[in-house]
Amino acid sequence: MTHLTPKLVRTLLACALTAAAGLAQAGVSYHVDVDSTGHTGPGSLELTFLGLANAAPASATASGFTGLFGTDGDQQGSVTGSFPGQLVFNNGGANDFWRSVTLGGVFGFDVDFDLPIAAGANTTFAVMLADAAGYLTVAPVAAFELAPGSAVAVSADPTYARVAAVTLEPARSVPEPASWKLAGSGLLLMGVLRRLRR
Amino acid sequence: MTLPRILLSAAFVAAASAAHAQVNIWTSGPITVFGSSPSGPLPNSTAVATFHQGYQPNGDRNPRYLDNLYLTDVRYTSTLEWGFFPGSMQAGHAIFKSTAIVPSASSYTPTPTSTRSEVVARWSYTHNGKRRWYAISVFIPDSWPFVQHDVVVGQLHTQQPGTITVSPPVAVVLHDKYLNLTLQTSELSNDPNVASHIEKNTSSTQTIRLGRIDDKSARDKWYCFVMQADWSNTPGLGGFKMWMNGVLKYDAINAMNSYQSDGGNYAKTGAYLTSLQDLTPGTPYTMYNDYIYLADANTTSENDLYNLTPCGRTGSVAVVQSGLTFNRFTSQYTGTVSLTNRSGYPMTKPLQFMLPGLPAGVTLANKTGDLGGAPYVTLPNATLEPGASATVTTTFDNPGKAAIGYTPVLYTGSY
Repeated sequence: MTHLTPKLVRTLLACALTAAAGLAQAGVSYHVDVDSTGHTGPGSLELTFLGLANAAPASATASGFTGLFGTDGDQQGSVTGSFPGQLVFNNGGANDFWRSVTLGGVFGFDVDFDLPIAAGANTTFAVMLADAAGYLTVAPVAAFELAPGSAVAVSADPTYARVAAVTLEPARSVPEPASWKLAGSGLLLMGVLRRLRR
Repeated sequence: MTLPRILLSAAFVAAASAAHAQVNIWTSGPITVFGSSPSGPLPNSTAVATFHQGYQPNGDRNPRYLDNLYLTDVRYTSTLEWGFFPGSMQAGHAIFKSTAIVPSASSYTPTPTSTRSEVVARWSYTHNGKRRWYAISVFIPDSWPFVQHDVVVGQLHTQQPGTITVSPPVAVVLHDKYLNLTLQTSELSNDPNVASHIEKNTSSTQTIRLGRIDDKSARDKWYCFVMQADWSNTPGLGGFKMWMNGVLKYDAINAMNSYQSDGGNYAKTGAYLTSLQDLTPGTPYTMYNDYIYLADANTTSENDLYNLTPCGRTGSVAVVQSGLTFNRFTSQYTGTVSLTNRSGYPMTKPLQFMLPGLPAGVTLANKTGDLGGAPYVTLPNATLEPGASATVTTTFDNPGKAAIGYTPVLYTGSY
């Protein structure tokens, strides 16, 4: 090991630490509360995740639904999973999920995104609230705009929606073996460097 | 429909940056920033002599005559139109359709030996000893009928006394399957009373092959020529550069490139069929031409002009397409498009956002109208200044839930 120059060791160490740091990067997640206070009767909560045909590939995962949801609803297009469990939306095609609700309460869920990294048009995750006559607002009560290379842009109608960013646990997904290998090599090199300095 | 103004602008998806150096629009900037001509239908002109009006032989500058930017030169049965044709998409505005039609020899006296459909950038005469930049762009359609004669599609010509006829110092020529650059020059006098005055057979000629158009992939596309000329008819002086589609194709220094001329040199574009021999009367030779862009010696980069041409103008407007929302009750999809002027020039109203290429079954519910089968929305705001943005809402009827895609294009002018 003594043939490794300090400069090379430091370079390898920096690479390894950079890779390891990536493992600890928090995901993007939000908790959404849709508040229908002031309204009564049957209604619906609707979610879509849509972009133009040239939108950069992305997906959204909604889960943890709470509130007085009914049994009526529909799930079309590129949405997988089942309510009230996890729903995964893919922007590769048209999609629409809606579920009946009893208006007057708060309906909550979590949503996180696999952000687009390729070039392309944006994608919008939209939350709409409707009563028997139609949507309560012209624009979605909450919307998340995903632009390649940018942070998620969140907008919410203060009358009907509250959105809170949620810090995910560091390693939400299982790292690839190669990543562990690289992180391990970094730790190993740290030890070697320490030993060399002695 | 009213024909569009000549304007700078337009565009589609791009991230390219605008030119850093600026064209001096007073002495000869992009002529498109001025006025509203040409208006159609363009009149035929038989007075070639009018090319010579208004030049300033002793002026350092060539101020514009702003209300009449082009002269036309359309001979016999040839036609020149102004509107939206193949190629307008990339140009971002209406263009010229130049059709040289072979005339019937028996219908004219004297018998025609050539025909043309051309436009001339007026008041652009430039003298020897001066530098001038030019951009000429031609769209060669797939249907181009190959011909064994020279068809001049763009030229930098020379003003000469009426008794002297010479070929232009610079000509972009289609000949059969080849695209050529032809350069001609002479140091002789333009005084016809001098024994050794210039004439065609005393000019030196050089032909450079620029490309071939026989492959189908080489047609239905724009060819954009940016030229820098240091005009001179003195041996050892002068220079000329040409870029085709952004690539340097010709570069000469210390080389004369012009003729002695009282008026100077000027730019033309169109279809000039130089010979009619063995051609069938009535046969049309059609191509499309963008504006002629001119710039003066202060211009510092060929990109200043290239970025204005259909080949290079993709970076003039930055387009950001939002995601979509879906209305379950109306089955409509809605999104927005943000348009930012990244050029150095204002884009003057009216601005039209066009959405060509929508898939079958998808229609734009909030369209202002249609043009050439594509819907468009008129932007409500006025001029888009450099760096300014505008947002357009697009609402689609899409009962089949098809993937919605289109090519965003910003046009200037009214239809």
